[in-house]
Amino acid sequence: MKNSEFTNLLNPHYNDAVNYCRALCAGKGISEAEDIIQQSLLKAFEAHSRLKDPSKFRSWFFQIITRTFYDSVRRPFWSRFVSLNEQAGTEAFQVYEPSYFEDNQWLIGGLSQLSNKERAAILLFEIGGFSIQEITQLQQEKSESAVKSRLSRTRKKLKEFMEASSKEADASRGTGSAQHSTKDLYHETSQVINESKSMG
Amino acid sequence: MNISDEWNRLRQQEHTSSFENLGSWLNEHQPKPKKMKTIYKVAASIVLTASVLVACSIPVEQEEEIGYMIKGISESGANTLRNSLSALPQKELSQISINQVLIDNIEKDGDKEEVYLTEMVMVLAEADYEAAVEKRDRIAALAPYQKLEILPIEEKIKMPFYEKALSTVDIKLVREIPDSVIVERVDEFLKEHSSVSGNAKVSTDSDGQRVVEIIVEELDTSSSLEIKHPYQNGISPRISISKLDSLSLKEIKERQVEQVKEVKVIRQNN
Repeated sequence: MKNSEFTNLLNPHYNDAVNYCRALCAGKGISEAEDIIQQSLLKAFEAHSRLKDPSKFRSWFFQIITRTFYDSVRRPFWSRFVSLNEQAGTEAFQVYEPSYFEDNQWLIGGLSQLSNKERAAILLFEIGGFSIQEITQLQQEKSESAVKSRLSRTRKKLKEFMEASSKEADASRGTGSAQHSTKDLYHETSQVINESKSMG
Repeated sequence: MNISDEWNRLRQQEHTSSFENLGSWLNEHQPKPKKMKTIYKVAASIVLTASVLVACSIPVEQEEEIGYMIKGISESGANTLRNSLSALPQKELSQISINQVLIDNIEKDGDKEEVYLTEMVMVLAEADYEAAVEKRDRIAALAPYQKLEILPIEEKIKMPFYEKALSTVDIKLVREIPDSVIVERVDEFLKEHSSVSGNAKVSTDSDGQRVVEIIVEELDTSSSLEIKHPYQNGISPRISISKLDSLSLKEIKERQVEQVKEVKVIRQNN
């Protein structure tokens, strides 16, 4: 099995896949996102020789990421603390920079409030660029209308979360509060979202 | 805050630097050896099964009881004992041998003298202990014995390992004797024990059980068809044709072809 064959197939989709994985893990730590992308890469590397149609690599790889994410949600609590790098005992392969979320804190904060299925659907559409029909297949839904309504509902929720976060940010700026760190902003965003949820 | 801008910003995140390291990282994480393929699993199970079958069919030796010997020691003389035992059926008499045994240096009234005792031995070809006990009791009732005991006759028998394993849990396999072997045995028996040679044939009756037919020529007189019994005072007495149907054919059936339901004599004209 040659690495070059796999990396050539992966190259055009690598950025989107990595961004998709991180956004899918919104609300979780960066190390968990790192583990999921690494496991997905290894699974795809092992299985890519069995992929009959290379033109379907993108949807195939995104599906692997999605399934690995769902598996990680279901796996035992203690095993989430064992990272792949530690298990292998080899040199770490790092995909995400620690500052990765600084530019996307609003969106990631909003995504973290969605259910796993809603988040996967909106990310497959926005980051993956998949059609409704493809998302229906990826999410193993029976009808496209289910995916359509899920996307519509998710967009609405996201918009509400973003607006609430924006208002809160404006208010804090108006009171002349001190410069917030990224961590504080993320925390406050979550708080605002929770408040807006409780208000219904 | 525009949500489209947020999506665009997320899409534009670059990970080129990590992609450059991906090749070497994948090298370090080569997939583990694959599990055994189905064809190898099938081959392994065939080899294993064959090995077990071969191992089970390896012959092993086992001591097995093939019959019993009733041995008695009597102070009576040989003739007296023989006369006492004459009440036994002819078939049983043929299984008995009586001999006088000299025993030296027996102390009697302070003197040593030679004593003659009579030894009776009855050989039973069947490993049926209950039948042996019943015969011993009957023999014991006919004459006084110093000692009368049942001794097992053992023989080393070679049998496949699986049959030995089954016999240890008291499961005995009954092998069907082929028709040709039955015919051979009956013909041999007739040749050995009678003055006529029959022509045996094996057929199957309506119940699916095997019947041996001995086809002999139609005879003028009943005395022409006789069976020789070698054990009676060293003479071969002659038994009439009616006894061939009862005693001797029963004997054929029991001794030679135990898997046969019936033995018939069919007389034919030339």
